[in-house]
This record gives sequence, C-alpha cells and structure tokens, in this order.
Amino acid sequence: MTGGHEMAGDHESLASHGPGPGDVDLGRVWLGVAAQVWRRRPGLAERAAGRLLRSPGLARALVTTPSLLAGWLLASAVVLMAGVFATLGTGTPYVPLLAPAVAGAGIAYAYGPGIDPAWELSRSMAVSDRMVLLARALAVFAVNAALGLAAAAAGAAAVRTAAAVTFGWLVPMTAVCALALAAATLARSANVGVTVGLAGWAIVVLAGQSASGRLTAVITDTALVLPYLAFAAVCAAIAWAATRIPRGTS
Amino acid sequence: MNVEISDLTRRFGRTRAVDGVSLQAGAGVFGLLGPNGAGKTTLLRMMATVIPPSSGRLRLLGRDPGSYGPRKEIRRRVGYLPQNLGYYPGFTVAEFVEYFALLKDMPPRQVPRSVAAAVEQVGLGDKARARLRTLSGGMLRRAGIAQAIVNPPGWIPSSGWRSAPCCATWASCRP
Repeated sequence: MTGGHEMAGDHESLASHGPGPGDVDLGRVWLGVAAQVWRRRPGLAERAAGRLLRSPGLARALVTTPSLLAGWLLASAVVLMAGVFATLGTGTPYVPLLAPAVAGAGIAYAYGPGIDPAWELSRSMAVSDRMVLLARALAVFAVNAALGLAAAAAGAAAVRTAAAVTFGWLVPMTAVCALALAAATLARSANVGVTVGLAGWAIVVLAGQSASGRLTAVITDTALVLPYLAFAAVCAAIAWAATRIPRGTS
Repeated sequence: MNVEISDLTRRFGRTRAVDGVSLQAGAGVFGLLGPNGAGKTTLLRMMATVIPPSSGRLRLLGRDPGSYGPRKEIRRRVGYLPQNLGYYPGFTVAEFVEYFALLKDMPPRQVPRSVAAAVEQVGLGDKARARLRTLSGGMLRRAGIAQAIVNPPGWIPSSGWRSAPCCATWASCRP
C-alpha cells in the first residue's frame, strides 16, 4: 500500500494525462473505504464536550480522563454511599467530610506523568497540555460535585441535617481540589497530590473538631469560607505556574 | 533549516543533561550517537518542545518555540516518537492514531483518511481495529510511528532505535 502523498501525486499525474477506464487508483479507493470502516463514532459526552470546548482534540482528551472512567466513578460512588450509610447509622454527616477527599483524589489523578499513559507524547501536541489539565480538572470537579451533592442530599434527608451541612462542603472541596492539583503538578506525581490533599483535609477537619468539639465545624463555620477561597486561589496560581513553559529560553 | 540550535543547555537541578550544544539540520535523516547519559534523549525532547531549554537558542521549522503561537504551529508539524511510547491499552490502533491526529489540531474532516493512510503506511492495516494491549512490541512501535506521521510532519524527532524492522518502517515513511 502506498502512502497518501505518493498517491496524491499519482492521482495528479493521472489527472494530467486525462482519466482512462483502467486508471482507477485502487490504493486511493481503499484508503477511502478504510477511513470509513475504521472511523470511530464519538459518544454523546464527547460530542457535547467538542461543541462546548470548540476543540475535538480537547474533547477526546477529556473523555480519556483516568478519574472520569467508569471504574473510578463507581469507586467514588461506593465511597460516598458508604458515607451515606455511616451517616444513617451514626447521625453524624460523614458525606460532607468524604466528598472533598474523593474529589481531591480525582483531581490529582486527572492528568500527569504516570497517570496518563501517553503523557510525554501529549506534551508535544498542538492542543496545549495545560488546557487538557484545566478541562479535565473542571470536569472532574463538576462530576464529583454532582456525586457529592446527591450523596449529601440523601444523607441529609435521612438524618434531617441543616443546609449548611448539606452544601457547606462545596467551598472546602474547592480548596482541597486546588491543593491536590497544586501538589500533583509541582511534584509531577498524582500520588503526592492525593497524599497532600487528603492530609491537608484531615488536618483541617481534626483541628476544627479539637477547637469546637464538632466534626462538621470546618464545613458549617461561615467565617472559613473566605480563607478557603483565598487558599484555593493561591493553590490554583501555583498549579498554573507549575505548568507554565518559561518564556525567553528558546 | 528545520532545526537551529545554538549553545543549548538543559539542567535538572545541579545536573547538566545538555551542555552548550550547537547544531543545524535541514531536510534529511540525522542520527544522534553517544553513550548512555550523554543527553541525547533530553536534546530530542527539547527539539520536540516537550521540555524547554534552560538557556541557549532553539529554532524549529524557522520558528521560536518559546512563544505560544509559534510553538503551537511547530507542534502541528512535529511527529514526535518518544523513547518509551506510552499508550492506552484499550485503544485500537486506529483510535490511538486518531487521538493524536486530533491533539495535533488536524481538521476533523481530514482525520479519518489521514489515520487510514498512516496506519496503512506502517503496515498495520490488518491490525487497525486490534487493541493496543494485544500487539507485539514491534507493532506498538509501528503504531507509534503512525501517530508521528499522521500529520504531514516537517520534523520527526524520535529516539530509542534498537530494532531493524522499525528502522526499515521509518525508512519507508520518510516524508
């Protein structure tokens, strides 16, 4: 089988001599058939992401996110369901404490060396790997927020907890996700990102409990909202800087 | 000139992996030979815009990869094949090549035909719908070559040539 360029050249030379009945370029015909037979039909999510992001490449990179694959999502749902059952059994809302940790782990495992098999190859591509990271991080955050909200609402409805407990974890989740992302990009290791994110969240929860006597103090105390957001902004800036390609070194 | 390098260095902490390299390369096939740890792979990774140099001047395809716009243009025309080809085991050969065609910003309408041409060119036509995890090492390498040539590449930095069949495949794929 000859290459596309050669075939294009052959075709041009044939065209210059005028078409003849025996001049059918079977190689070219076969390529057209193979292109149709091997063509992949993008799924619904990929088509929607392609329209939203205006980049089929970015959309394809998004649907290959390791922490958005079915196995990972199932594991996240199982952890949150365990939180719902623990909430029902003890009356203590565990889901709002678990949701930021689950989301932080998902963000750390969204993109990077050792996580994405073709990471090095992806870094030489025209679609910026920083954009891939951003799109994947946002998608993982959104999916985990939806999972967490569903689980928190289920647990809260059963034990009749306040809205602050049901929704108050969204802001801390932003901070934990940003921390995990910053650590993962700085260290270029998803495991470091997960460890730092989980350790940071555990320290905050335990510190809040020892200060106020309540396990949920870190999600119900409205005075912590601004510090959480400021911390998230700093971590996001660190992640942004860590993925920057320095100018002036070319 | 496809590649113009002047006094290029790359440091990793205190280690100087590449130290003051200067070279120019136009059209043709060039090889980098040297002992282990000489910095060949690091130099190729800089030439593929995977990592930036620490200092020195690098121009690829007449453009400066230090700026976003030119770097994107260079990357559209680079066919990089890393030493250790990472791959998604569940992808088919055609899906793997298509993935990188899309990441190279190829117009979506051109992608199926370019994928078919690249897969046929490396002789994997009969394996186009086979999962990558089922392929031999040599076939995986050829799938890697297919993704490198799926765009009309102006520059193909590649490393890790140890297999004669792969070299033969490359030779048949020269743009």
